[in-house]
Amino acid sequence: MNPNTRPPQLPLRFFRFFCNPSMAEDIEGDLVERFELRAERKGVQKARWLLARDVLLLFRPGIIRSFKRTQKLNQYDMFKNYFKVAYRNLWRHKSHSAINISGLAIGVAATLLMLFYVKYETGYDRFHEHSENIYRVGLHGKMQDSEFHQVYTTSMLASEMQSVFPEVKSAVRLQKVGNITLQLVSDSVNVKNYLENNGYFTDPGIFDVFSLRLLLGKGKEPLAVTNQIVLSESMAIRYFGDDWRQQDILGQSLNTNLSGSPISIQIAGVVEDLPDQSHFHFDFFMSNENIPSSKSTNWWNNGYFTYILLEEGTDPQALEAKLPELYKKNLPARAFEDGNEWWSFLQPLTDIHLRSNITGELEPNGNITYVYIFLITASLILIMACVNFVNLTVARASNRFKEMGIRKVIGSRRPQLILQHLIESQVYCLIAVILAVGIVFLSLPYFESFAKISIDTAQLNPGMLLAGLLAFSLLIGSIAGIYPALYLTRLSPVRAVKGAVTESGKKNLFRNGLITFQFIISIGIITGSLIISQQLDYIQNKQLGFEKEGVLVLENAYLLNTSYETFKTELAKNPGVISSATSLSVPTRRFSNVQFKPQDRDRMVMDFLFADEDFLNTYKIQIKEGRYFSTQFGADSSSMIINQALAENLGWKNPIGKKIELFGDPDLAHTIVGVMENFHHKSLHHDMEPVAILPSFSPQSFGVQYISLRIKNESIKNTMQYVADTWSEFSDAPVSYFFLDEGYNNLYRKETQTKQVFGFFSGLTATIAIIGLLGLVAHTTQQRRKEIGIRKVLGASVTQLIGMLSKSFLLIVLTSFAIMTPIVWIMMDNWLNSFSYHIDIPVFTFLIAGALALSVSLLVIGFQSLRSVMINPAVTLRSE
Amino acid sequence: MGKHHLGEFEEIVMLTVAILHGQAYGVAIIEEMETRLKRSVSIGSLQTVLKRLEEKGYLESEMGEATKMRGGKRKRYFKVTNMGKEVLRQAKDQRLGLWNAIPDFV
Repeated sequence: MNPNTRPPQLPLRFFRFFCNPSMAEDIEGDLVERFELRAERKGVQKARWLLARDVLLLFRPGIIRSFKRTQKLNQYDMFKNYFKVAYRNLWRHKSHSAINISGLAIGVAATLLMLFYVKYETGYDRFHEHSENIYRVGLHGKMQDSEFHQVYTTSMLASEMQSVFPEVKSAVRLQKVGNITLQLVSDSVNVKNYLENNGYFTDPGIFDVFSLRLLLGKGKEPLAVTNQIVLSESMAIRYFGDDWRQQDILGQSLNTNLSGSPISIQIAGVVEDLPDQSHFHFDFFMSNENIPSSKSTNWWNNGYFTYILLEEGTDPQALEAKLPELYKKNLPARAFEDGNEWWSFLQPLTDIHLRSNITGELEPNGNITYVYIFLITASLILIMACVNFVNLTVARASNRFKEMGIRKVIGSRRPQLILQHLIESQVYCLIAVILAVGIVFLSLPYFESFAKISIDTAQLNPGMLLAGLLAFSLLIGSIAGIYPALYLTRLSPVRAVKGAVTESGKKNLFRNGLITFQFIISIGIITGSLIISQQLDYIQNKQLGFEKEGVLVLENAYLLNTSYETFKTELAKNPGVISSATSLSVPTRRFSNVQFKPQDRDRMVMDFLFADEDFLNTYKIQIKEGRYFSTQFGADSSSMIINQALAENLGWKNPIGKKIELFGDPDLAHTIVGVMENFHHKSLHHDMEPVAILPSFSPQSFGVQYISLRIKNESIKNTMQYVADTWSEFSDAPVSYFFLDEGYNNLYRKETQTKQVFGFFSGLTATIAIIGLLGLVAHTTQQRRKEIGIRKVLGASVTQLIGMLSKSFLLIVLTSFAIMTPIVWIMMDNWLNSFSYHIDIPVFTFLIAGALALSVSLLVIGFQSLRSVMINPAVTLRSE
Repeated sequence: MGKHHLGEFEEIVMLTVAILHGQAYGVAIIEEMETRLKRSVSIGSLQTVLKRLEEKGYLESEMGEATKMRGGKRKRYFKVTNMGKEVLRQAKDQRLGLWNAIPDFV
């Protein structure tokens, strides 16, 4: 054939590719014939072009072959077979599958719960529309050698920043209202008093910075004028009931007493409560206009929380760098003498909950370290569950070798067999994940209550959740399945089919290694959580320098209007009250701190409190030297007592008689008359700090906030009733009190919560490890049934056999104990050192954890061994 | 009746196959249609119709011998089946019936 008249190959190749094979030959023939005819008639070029056109026109349904069908046909059945075999295997070895799947399910469930917890903790304050552009401005100060970071900033800061820096879009300041009694007069008969302690004075700007939802009335306008109040929804419900929307509550007035003068304030609006995941919550807002200090131009007037909203795209660090300048400009030069420093720093709003723990936090915050600890624990649990799966599947391997061999003989290639095993592990994982979701669903309410979190399940996107779970299942299935898949498909078909596979020592080493690893983790976590709970118990029961049990503290004592003495006399009439004392603050609450000038020493800032003559004896704080002040001595109004830490701090061997000037003012000098023992007034994360007590009858006294009662353990109820009755004789406001030990435990709320969550998960890891051990022991004893039978026939006793079977497993437990001890020792030592007061590493705890692991394993091993040892040898030896 | 309905192109293809009587294969059918009807037909549309008619049972086909022509590819010869003839006859009768029903045609 003339090469010039050859039909073009490209369109023909394409045609062969897509054409249904049953039609390809004759149509291609037609194409070629037609091309030849056309080449003669119209020329080769045109014929070529027309052929290409014909091919394109042939590209239509009816002629195109079905690609899917022909490609899938073969594989599809194989896939079906994989699933079928997986399913059959699952049912055939029910107990093995149950152990395998439950281990995985518990692991996955634990991980899911843990992730919920972590997600909750990291999701704080993200509900505000501009949350990533909101910052809290804190104050950093350095005076002499003490350096501090605090939330409190000057009242000037918000407006100053807004006017000086254009990148500050809006700014707001908040100040706590403190305790206040609000009186709701519905009609002449119905007068109700409410004690409120979670209100804020603020500016209208709060609606610009934060995303607050107004439910009723107005928000911004009332905060610009005096004597208006904006309630939270929960407060509206408290005052007016669930149907507050039906009542005409706007404009209703509440009577109260603000800085000494009675006023009436109007309800101007209701806003929605802030969600749980907010670093602060409020009951009501009032305008800053209501307090004179908000207009103060004094840069020392530090009582405000300042929040700013930055323009989109502002670099917060650049702004932060300009802040020291602001203080240089506004503070008097003497503030920076002696190397003292003052500046402000910015904290991203979303970081406050987990990464901020500075003086004056509005509510106890979380801790990023605990979030990391939980993430690590979650991954450890998941790894353990996977290890379990690997271990149990590999242990069963010999049962599958023959199948693998036959499949290879029939023609499966290794990648296909690997795929088969991966599919099998996926099936297991999917079942485990479904079970895990069930477990999570059932346990969520309990978990929420003890972890003190709330998960809004309605907020979860079901599609995302499903996709996530599927992806999770796939991931776990692949991780857990890959080693068994490689291991099972590794043999040559001849060896596999012959069944000449005996378990070599090397394989055992690998499996034993894995189970040792599991035991290291679980004994480690158990030991760790035991030590954590011991440390927390220690803290809560430590000698604090005073007796926290049996002390009832009445708050807001200022409401008694200086009739403290008569009130105390009234209280003393009840036999349940041993003693009572008035003071400015109490341990667990913030102490005031101001500058002092000790005699012959530099000025220093320290914590102090004003208290009356019964304080030490009510708290049972011991006097080491000298005496406590008393009203019997006329000159005692200018006396003071200090604690040992302060005496040591000042280097005074004999402090009695020395003078300390309050505010560094020589006219306000107080003479030390006694030294008391140190006591803890903050959490034990802090050292025992220097503290001084000044008499509350001194002319400089800041007043009385608390009355502490030491009461008898018997008939507490009656005593409290008596106290409340007596209170109501003196004040219209409701009585508010707490027990000191409760208040003290609140300082460790976060730790207690962590302890509980941690304890829960350490229990889970132990369960997974035990499940793994159980499966492995069951398998080994099963494999050695024949050996056991022969040994029995030859005269071995049951005890000997159990001993033989248990030996290797006990070795595992002991090895893991030996490896775990130093690791956990170092880690716990580090953690304990973060407390100023901590227990020594308790050797005993390690022994307990070890003994616990040993005895539980012994029980599992013993029970399993006993079962196989008790079988009549005739039964095991008869087969084959 | 509707079951055995033939489309216009289907009818022409069947008639052409009948005309060629045993020599009807792809290119021959096209050539015949082009000479008789002055109508250009692509292989694609023809083959689709042929396949459809074969599925309906109006046509049957068998492969011929390989020759040196056509790049060595065999031809597929089409033949009208008895059922196909019956359908063609029906179509013709319907047409005639319609023609006859016209009162006076110019």
